[in-house]
Amino acid sequence: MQLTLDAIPHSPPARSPVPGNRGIWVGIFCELTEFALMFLAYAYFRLTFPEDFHRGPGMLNTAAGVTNTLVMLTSSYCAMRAMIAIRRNQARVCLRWLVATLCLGIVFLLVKAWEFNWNLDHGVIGTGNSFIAMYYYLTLNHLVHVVWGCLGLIWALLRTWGGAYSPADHEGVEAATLYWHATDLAWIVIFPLMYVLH
Amino acid sequence: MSAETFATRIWLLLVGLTLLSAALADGAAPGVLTALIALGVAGVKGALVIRHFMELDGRFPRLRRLMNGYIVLVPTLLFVLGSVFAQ
Repeated sequence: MQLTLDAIPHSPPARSPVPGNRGIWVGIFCELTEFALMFLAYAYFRLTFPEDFHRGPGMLNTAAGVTNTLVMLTSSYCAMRAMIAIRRNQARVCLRWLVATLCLGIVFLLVKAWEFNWNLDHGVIGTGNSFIAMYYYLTLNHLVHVVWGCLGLIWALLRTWGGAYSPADHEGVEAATLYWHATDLAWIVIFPLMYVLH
Repeated sequence: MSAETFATRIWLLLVGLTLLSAALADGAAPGVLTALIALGVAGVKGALVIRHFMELDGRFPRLRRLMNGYIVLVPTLLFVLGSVFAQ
C-alpha cells in the first residue's frame, strides 16, 4: 500500500472548538465529576443520618461560609474582567485583574484556615457526626482545587507580565480563568448544602 | 452597555442571590421551602456563571448543554433525594 500525504491528518483549526483548550476541559470535567460523586455521597448520608444533617449547619460558622462565597464570586468577576482587558489589548489592566483574582483566591484560603481553626475551638471535628465528616470531605477537596486554580492563575499572570498574550492569542488566560470559574461553580453548590439546608 | 458594566451587573446579581440564600441559614423557614429556594438559587447562580463568566454561548452548544445539564441536574437531584425522599 502506498502512503500518500492525504493520509496525514489535517492540522487543527487555528481557533479551538472549545474556549481555552481541550486540556483544561478535561480537568474541569474531572473536577465536576469528582464533586458530583461527592454530592451523591452527601445525599446518601443525609438520607441515612437525617439528625446529623438537621443539626449540622447550626454547628458551622455561617458568616465564614457567606464571606467565602462572596470572595469566590468576586474573584470570578475579576477573572472575567481580566479576559475583557486582554481582548481589548490592555495587558497591564489584565495583569491587575489577574492579581486581584489571585489575591481573592488567597483570601478564600485564609478565611478557610480561620474557619477550620474556629471549628477546632468549638469542637467541630470530623468524628462522630456524618454531616461534619462530609463537610470536611467536601470543603477540603474544594480547597485543593482552589490551590490548583491559584497555581494556574500565577502561571497566566507571569505569562501576561512577560507579554505572551494578545487579543488574538490569550489561550493561557482563558484556560486559567475557566478553571477558576469551574471551581467557583462547585462552591456555588457546596455553600447551600453545608451552610443553609437544615 | 459596555462588557465591563454588564459583567459588574452580573456580579451584583450573584451577590444578591447569595445574600438571599444566606438569609435562609437561620432555619426559620420550613426545611422543604429552604431547600427549594437555596438549591434553586444555586442553579440560577451556576447558570449565570456558565453563560456570562465562562461565556458558554451559542458558539459552544455541546459544552453549554453539558454544563447547563450539570447545574440543573445536580441541585434537582439533591432536592429530590434530600427533601422529597426524606419525607
